[in-house]
Amino acid sequence: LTAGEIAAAVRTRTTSARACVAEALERIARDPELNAFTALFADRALERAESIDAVLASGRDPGALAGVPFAAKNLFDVAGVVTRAGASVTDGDPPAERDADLVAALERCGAVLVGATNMDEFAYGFVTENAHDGATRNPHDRTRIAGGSSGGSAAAVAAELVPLALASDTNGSIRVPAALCGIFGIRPTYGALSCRGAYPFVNSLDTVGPLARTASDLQLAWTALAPGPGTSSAPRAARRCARLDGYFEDDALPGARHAVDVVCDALGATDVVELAYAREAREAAFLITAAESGALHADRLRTRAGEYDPATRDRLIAGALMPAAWYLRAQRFRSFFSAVMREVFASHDVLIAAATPYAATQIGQRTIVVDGREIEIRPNLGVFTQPISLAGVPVVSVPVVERGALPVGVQLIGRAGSESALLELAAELERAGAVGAGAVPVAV
Amino acid sequence: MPLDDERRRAVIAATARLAAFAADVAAVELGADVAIAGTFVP
Repeated sequence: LTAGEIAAAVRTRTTSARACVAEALERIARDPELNAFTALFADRALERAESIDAVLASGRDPGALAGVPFAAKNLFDVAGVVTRAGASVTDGDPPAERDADLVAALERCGAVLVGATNMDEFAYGFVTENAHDGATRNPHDRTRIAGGSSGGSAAAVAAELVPLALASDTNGSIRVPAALCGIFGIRPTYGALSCRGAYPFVNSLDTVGPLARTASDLQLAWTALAPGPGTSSAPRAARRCARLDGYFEDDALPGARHAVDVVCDALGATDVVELAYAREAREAAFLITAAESGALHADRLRTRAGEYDPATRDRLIAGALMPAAWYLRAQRFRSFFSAVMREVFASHDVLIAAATPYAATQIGQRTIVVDGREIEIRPNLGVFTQPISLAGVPVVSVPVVERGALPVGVQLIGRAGSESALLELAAELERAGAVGAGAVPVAV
Repeated sequence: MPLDDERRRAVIAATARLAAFAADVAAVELGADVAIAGTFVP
């Protein structure tokens, strides 16, 4: 069931919140192989569900997400629980005193947190092959990665263990796993949603947002997280859409290019735009990421480096040792690049590009051949998402799932504050059958 | 915590990558006909 269907059934008392939450907990327990969850909060969830049923019994409205079970990446604070952020070096940290703002916002609308999900350590990765918690498997092919760093959240939603999950996106950590697992996700405008209670990674780039199996569920979650009028959606005929060319096509395998074709055809988008300085924007995002994450962990790295995931440790150390001039120059470039982006949005409303250059690769696979060149999988999964992160504009990732093929994702990129319009566009594409989450093989 | 040889090589490789990125970004600043300055606004 979708989040919308669950909430409707609970609100009309066709079923109870407790039954919906108990079923979600059972589904999760039946599928340990997926390795999407690192913790379950059964007692808290069932207690919360019972309180929602009590609210309904008293004739009051528990909210638009009544009884909807959801998961949160394990970097979100949960009151009374140590926030791990995919690490073991955080094990001795004090428990969180209160829920993260986004967890609280969903629960204010009646949703129920059931568990915390796997991720790359400190969100520094695109694969969710975690040295401490293992790899999360892709529900479409369990020998493959779920993408990252929010891989547990994406896999949990794609496998229909929960209809909604919270995640974070610094360089692509919502869009990459959404694409590889064949679901919808939104990276909001930088600063649009509160990061309070989310373990920081790169303050200049961090955003938080939801993942869902349907566009309408993503809209429901967005409304709960960002209540307000939003931006009005332009009529479809008046919406100026363009495909991003050059950098955003060069390193993509045919499957990713085809997914962009599908979306452009459905939108009648024939304009093509080459976004200047995209390569340097990705490089600046790398520099800012290295410097800020390195600084954040510098003290702990001095004494406890051995407890870090080797996949993140060396990059954190390199970042901690980086000259300040490189970081400052990257930040100046960011201002320049955001102006370049605003100029593009003067003539277009939505830009379209693949979310990743290829579909999910095998767990443990290190390289892939693109256009005859052998490239590293881990860093290159973010090649199309990182430049957009630097600009700070919102993106909805929509899934293209065709029979017999692995899912791929397409980014719908809008100007700052255009989340509502992008979500409406995603819903239109879903209604037209151009995009949508496909069925996943049933776990045995 | 001292780095062993393998870790040291990995950190050097990561630093070399960052140095290359920094050079590319610097080249834009040096070559751009507009000043790269101001406050970031998404």
